[in-house]
Amino acid sequence: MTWVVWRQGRSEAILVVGLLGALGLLLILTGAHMRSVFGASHLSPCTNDAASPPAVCGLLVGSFRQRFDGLNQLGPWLGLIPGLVGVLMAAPFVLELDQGTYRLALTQSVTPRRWINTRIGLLLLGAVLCGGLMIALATWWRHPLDSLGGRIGPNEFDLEGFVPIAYTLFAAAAVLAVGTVSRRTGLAVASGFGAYLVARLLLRSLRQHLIPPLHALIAPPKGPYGIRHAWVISESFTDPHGHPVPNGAVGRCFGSSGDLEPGCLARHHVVSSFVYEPASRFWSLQAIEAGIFLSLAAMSIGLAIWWFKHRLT
Amino acid sequence: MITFHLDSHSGVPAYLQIVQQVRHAVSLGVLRAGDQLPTVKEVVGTLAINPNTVLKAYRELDRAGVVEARRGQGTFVAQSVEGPSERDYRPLQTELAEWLTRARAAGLDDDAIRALVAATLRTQLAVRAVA
Amino acid sequence: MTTVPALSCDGLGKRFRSKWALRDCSLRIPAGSVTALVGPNGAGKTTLLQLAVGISAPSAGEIETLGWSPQRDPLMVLPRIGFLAQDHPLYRGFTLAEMLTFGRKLNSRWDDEAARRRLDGLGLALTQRVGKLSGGQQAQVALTLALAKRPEILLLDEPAASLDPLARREFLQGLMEAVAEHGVTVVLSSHILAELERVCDHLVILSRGRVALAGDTEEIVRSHRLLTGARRDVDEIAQLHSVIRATTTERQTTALVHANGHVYDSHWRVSDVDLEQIVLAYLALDPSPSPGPVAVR
Repeated sequence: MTWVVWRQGRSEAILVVGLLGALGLLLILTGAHMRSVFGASHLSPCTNDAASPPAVCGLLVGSFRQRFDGLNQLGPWLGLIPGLVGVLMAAPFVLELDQGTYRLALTQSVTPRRWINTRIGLLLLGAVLCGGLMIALATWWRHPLDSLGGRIGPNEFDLEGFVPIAYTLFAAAAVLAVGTVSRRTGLAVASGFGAYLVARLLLRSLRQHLIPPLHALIAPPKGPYGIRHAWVISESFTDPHGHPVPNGAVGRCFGSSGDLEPGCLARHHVVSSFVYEPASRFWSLQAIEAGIFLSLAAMSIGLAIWWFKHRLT
Repeated sequence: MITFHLDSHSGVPAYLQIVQQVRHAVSLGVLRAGDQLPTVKEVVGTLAINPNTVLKAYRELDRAGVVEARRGQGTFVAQSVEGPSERDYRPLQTELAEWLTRARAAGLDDDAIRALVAATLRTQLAVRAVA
Repeated sequence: MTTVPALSCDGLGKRFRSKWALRDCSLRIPAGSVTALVGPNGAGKTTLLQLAVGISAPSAGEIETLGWSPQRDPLMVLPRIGFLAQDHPLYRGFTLAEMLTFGRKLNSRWDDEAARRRLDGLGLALTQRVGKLSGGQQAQVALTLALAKRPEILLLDEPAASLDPLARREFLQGLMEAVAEHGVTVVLSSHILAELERVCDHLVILSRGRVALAGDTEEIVRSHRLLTGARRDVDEIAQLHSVIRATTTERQTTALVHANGHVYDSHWRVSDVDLEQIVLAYLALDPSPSPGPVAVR
């Protein structure tokens, strides 16, 4: 049956390979370049969070980031890829229902149960493998940037850990569910991808509430421990009790060089207020977000299988 | 090798048409003793009819002694009817075709021709009976 | 000797949401027969065939194909049946060679050699894509795939519906050859009786989800009579024989009856009636829930 599943979904499989191949090529080429520049710029000392970084790091890191900012802009677009892969993996199954070829497949010698289990099983396996590949590529690519700025920030969080697998599975499951109920490929693909986008955007904005973020009030110019690798949700100037200060209070303290003078701020009792998620929460947040997507995926697949068993057979 | 054809609108059952066509072929000399009839598969492959219909026809012919079924080999014509062979009736057929052309030129339609043939046969029979 | 019927239904019913597509269906289709399943669209033909192969599960009653329940013992049924769904679905992007591979991979009993020979005989090259073939050719390919399983029963859902007359004829020729060669039982559904008459020796009439009539075609023709006479009530004749349909004009009454023995009644002129008229009369019947289907032995 594996041959049949592969051959029937061959076009989609080729598209997935092409997509991931192009992604891989892009990331490997740019990533290699980024790593060589990283090495040449002697940025390694700047990656350590614990000790105070050498003063020159601020400038080096800033210029490095700026140089590769273009690539960082790519982040959100990369977020579409798990959705596309998931949709492409689920489409062949829906096509079978849409074109009626499932009636041909179910009257060979395979039982309906084995047919649907094998098809969905292979689909899930494929989604996991593709997700894993995406994670491997993205993690490798982001290594220099992650070492400087952490990986829990909104753009990079989506690409690493194990959420990409959950994203892919959810997209595939959504297409499966709509496809099994409607038996229309176009509708299933569009709604499935649409549901994926909505869910991703929703979780993006809800992510900070999954684990309530930390608050810290620190005298500038320092930040809380590990702030460089954390996800800074908001950073503002407040009074020592955390209430916002009028702009004027801060404006006074701009020196001739255009920088803020810490001494001036201290005199006016202005402190930096941070709302952030520390890097240590990376895996917990990953688990929660992945858990949400995986539950949605499981429910969708359950619906698809139930519908298939009870309405189509 | 004989090819069957069926007239679905004639009202005659299919198997009977096959029987008649075999009998006809045998009497005309188209089928001779020892000739093999088409297999059931060949017949249904041409006519798209139920194989049982063909089997029924062949069984009937076997019962009547026109054909004999040889196990494992097929169905074969059992005996030839005393009558003209193909060599004999071909010139007759050519003459008939010429006559028909003349009859039509004279203005006779098909019905008139058939009536003429039937009447002549009857007269001939009567003449032979008397003789 | 009791042979297992190829298909056997007892009180079979199938409901979709609130509507019964098939109800109270009880039938025996003997092995080796070629059965026509006739009825208008929506009569339940597709439903019955899908229940027989196990794509659908019964809502009521039982069905056994080749002696086994398609739902409970699919592995005893699926390898032994050949099925042609309506519109003969095939993978349009596959080549014919790949369709054969498909069959080979999904079936334990598969005669690849015979399938190749059949396709060759039909003038179809293995490198051709299914999507590029004509409707008639696709139907033949679907039939080839079904036959390659060496099935004991072939179930065909309106196999010739979308085909032109020539393609239809060729399809039936191929089907009959398979029956002649392998003795496979055939059940084919159609809403056109005419083309099936010369092919089938058994008939099942479905109307509005119920079996109106089932039996051997010759027996059906033998046991039905057309009675014509001066305009009169059919109640008297209905006491002895089943009146299937009675039509009355100003002067004349015509009744099609399922005769219970010989019809002795000087009031009527009795004549034979052909299969098509019988089918039409039964299809016009309003199926009543209480009396069972008219079964002809």
